[in-house]
Formats: sequence, structure tokens, C-alpha cells
Amino acid sequence: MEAYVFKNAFSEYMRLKRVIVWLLVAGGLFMAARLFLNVNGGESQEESYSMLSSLLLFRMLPLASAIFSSGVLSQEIEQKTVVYLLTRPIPRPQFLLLRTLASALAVMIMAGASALGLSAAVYGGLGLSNPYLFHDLTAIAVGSLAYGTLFVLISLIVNRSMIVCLLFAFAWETSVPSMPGSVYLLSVSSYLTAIAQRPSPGNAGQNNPFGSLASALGTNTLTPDVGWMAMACLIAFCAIFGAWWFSRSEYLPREDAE
Amino acid sequence: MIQLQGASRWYGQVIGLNDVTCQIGPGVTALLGMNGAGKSTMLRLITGQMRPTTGTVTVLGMDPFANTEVYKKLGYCPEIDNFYEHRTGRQFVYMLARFAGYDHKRAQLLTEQNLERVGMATRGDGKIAGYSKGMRQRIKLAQAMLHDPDIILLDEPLNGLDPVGRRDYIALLHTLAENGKTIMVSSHILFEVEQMTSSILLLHRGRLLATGDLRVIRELIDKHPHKVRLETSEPRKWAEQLVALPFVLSVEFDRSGLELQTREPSQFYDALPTISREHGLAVTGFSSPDNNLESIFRYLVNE
Repeated sequence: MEAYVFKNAFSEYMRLKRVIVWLLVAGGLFMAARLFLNVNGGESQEESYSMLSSLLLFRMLPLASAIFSSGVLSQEIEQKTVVYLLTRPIPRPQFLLLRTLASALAVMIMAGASALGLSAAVYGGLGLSNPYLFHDLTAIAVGSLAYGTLFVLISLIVNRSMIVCLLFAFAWETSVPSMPGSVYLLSVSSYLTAIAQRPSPGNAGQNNPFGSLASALGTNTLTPDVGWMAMACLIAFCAIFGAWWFSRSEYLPREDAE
Repeated sequence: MIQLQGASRWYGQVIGLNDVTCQIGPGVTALLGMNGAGKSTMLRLITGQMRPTTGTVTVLGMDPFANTEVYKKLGYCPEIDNFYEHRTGRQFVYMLARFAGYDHKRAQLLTEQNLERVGMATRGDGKIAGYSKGMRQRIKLAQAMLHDPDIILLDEPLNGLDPVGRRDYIALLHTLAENGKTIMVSSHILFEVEQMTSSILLLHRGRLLATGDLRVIRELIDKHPHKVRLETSEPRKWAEQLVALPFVLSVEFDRSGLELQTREPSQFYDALPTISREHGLAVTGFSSPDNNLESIFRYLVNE
């Protein structure tokens, strides 16, 4: 049954309509990267990729997570179909974790495809000569799980959580890394940058049209070990607390609960 | 099988169910009440989607809230008309069979058996988005029965079914009840319930107003003056004949007909065709404003 819950959720997230949308996003990133390179021919490939990855790829990751995470439970509540799922003999924690995992895998695949597109745009060919690609794919995998579990937890606690998640994805994750002092430690993005082992985006792209944007992403000096540790703690906390919360809370179709 | 002990449920300042105590055993039991009476709240408590604010609810001796052991033996057909619209009826039932813990082969077999049972075997491959209300109800029933549960809860299951569909549905409920299942059906339509069972729970504004045999409640109603409306082009002539009957208490007439009150509805109904035949008076329409749920509640709460 567990395998089916995962498979069912994953196939739901990978429906053709959704895949097409995210393939278009990946194509958009490719085009944006090509445009950037045409305008700024002088930048090194490493610097260009690093900045584009921070500006585009790792901004897209929380957005994709927010959208896919909403499919884990909040969409079911909005569409009232949650009643069919919660009256089945599946332990709630298992059900939630399996669906969260399926959602994170879907995000991983979509964002991974975008990373490949971006890498191909900068390095040519399939983009496999990019020395940062593996690190970025690793950071994407970790980020998918981190954002996924965090957004699912938010959706379990907050009504109409999509707004909160999108605010977090766009406002929080964009502004917090550039705040003074140690505030950047409150951003998931800072730890993912550390795991990716890329130069901090704020140090790149000073002489191009995206320079100011890149600077706004701030600098951080976190080591990969700290990044891994922080993300492991975040994922574990959100998954365990979310499962516990879900197992004891009522989830009724939206207007019935009000 | 199902037991509620002083169960109440509040939604903020609003009470959904108020201090309900009852037991429900095998056979068909109807949960009767007007919209907002607390029927769905009671079913949600029994299906463990909600917890009671006070009191207890037990199903097969267990607390049903998020209890997988209870869900193995309980089938639920919710009132909502929401589905995974992009899926076919067959895919929907199969998916829920897998969620009930069956492997692929068994889930396929159960899906086919239950689609056949609800008359959807040949129409199961259409997308749910294109289904009529009746087809949706049938699919919902199929998913509720597929794991052969001991308890089946059906929330307003006859909504949207055509007469043939209703007859088939009711016949299926009777078959299930004969096989020892505990079936609870909620409805706000009295005549529907009368076709299904005589065992009822009557809810009104969250309170359990009456339990037991519907015929007893019927008799209780019949002790009160019973209103009958006749549609006729000759209301005066009809009134003249009807006031002469000893069990007719009052007659009021207008251009299109008349409304009367009687203490003995059965005697009145017996006398009606005789008067019509003997005096050559026609009736174009006939209704009993009291023959509905609202009037039962009025009687029971002495309003």
C-alpha cells in the first residue's frame, strides 16, 4: 500500500499538463541564460553560471516547492477530496510523509531539468562539463526536501497556506540573505548555497546588468558541513512535527470547517 | 456497533450536535433531519473525521478518530459531490481499493465487482467530469462498499438519482442489510426514508428528537389535526360535502381549491373517492402539507 500511495501521488504531480508547464520554465531559463551571455560576453562561464543559478534556479526552487507541496494536502482540502483519503486504513503519518516525498521528488526532477537547461546554455552541449552541476543538483535535492517538508508543515497549520508559502518563496528567501548581521542564517537559501559550494552570488557579476540583483542576494560564509547539518535538522523537524500534527488534527473540507 | 454517549460538537460559537446519546446496530437506520440539523456532523464524528467536543463516540468499541482499524470495517459515502474529475470512475474506485490495502489484482477484481453492483461497469471508463449526478452517486457508493465493510454510512445518497436509480439503490441497501451490515443513511426527505427503513434517528437543530420506529412517529402525528389540500374547480361544492363529515374539523376554500383539517386522515382518505363518485365532483390535485419532515418536527417540539 505504501508504494502505491507514493506512486499515485507522484504520477499525480507528474501529470502531462504540469510537466509541460515546468518544461516551459526550464526552456525559459535556458533562453534567459543565452540572452544574458549574449549581453555579457566577457564574464567567465563559472561566474555566469553561478550568478544565473542563484538568481534564477534557486529562486525557482522554492516556488516549485510551494506549488507542488500544496498538492500534498491543502489542494485535497480545498477540493474536498480529502475525505476519501482520510477515511482509508492508511496511518496518517505514513500517508503524509509518502506524499511529501513524492512531491519533493517531482520538484527535484523539474528543478534538475532546469539546472541542466541552464548549464547547457552556459557551457554548451548537454552542460555536463559544468563543474558546479553536480553540487547544484545535490543542493536542489536537499532544497526540494527542505522546502517541501517546510511548506507541507505550513499547509497543515495555516489555512490558505499557498499565500504564506509564496511570500516565503519570493519575499523571505530573496530579502533575508542580504540582510545585515546573521539574519541570513534564517534563510534556507543560504544553506543551499553553502551545500552547492558555489561562490556566493553577491561576489559575482559586479560589472553586468544583473550585478545589483546578485549583490542583493548577499554573501554568506557558511561551510558545506553547516549547510548539511542545518538542512538535515530542518527536514527532520518539519517531517516529524508535521506527521505528529497531522495525526492528531481534523482536516475537513474547507467551508465545512468554517 | 456504533455508540454515541452525550456527544456534542461545537463549531466555534455554533453547536453542530448537542448531547446526543444513541446506539446503532445492524440493519438500515435512517438519520432524518432538515438541512443543518447535524446529520453530517454526526456522520463525521462516527467516521472519525472529527472528535466530539464533549462526550464519546465509539465504533466497534474503538475511538474512530484517524483509526485505521475502524476504517478497515467502515465504508463512507460522503455528501460532497467532489471527485478527482480528471480520473475515470474505474480509476477512482481502483485507487481507493489500493488505499484500502489491496494489491493490484485484488483491487482490480473488487473494482469490477463493485462497479457491476452499482450499475457502472459499462460506464466506468468515462472521466468523472462528464458524469451525471446519478453516476457520481453510484461511484461514491461503489467506493464505500468495495472493502466489504461491516458498517456503511451514506450521507444523502439518493440526491440526484432518478426514480429507477433510487429503486435500485434502495434494493441494494436492503440486500446489504439482510447480509448483516450496519447501514446508516442520512436524509431530509421523509418519503425516501420510509422506503428504506422504519428505524430512524430524528435530529433537529443538533438534538436527537426521537429514535425508534417511524410508524410510531407517524401515529403520533396522526393524533394531531392533519391538513389536506384539494385542487378543484368546484371548491364550494366540495366544501359543502366535506363539512358534513364528522372527522373534518375545518374547511377553507379559495378559487383553485380548498384546504381542510381532519382528526382521522385515514377515514378521510377512504371517504374522498365515495364523495367524488356519488356527487360527480372532480379533483385535479391532491396534497398533504403536513406529510413532510417539517410538520413532524413541528408536532414533536409542539410549535
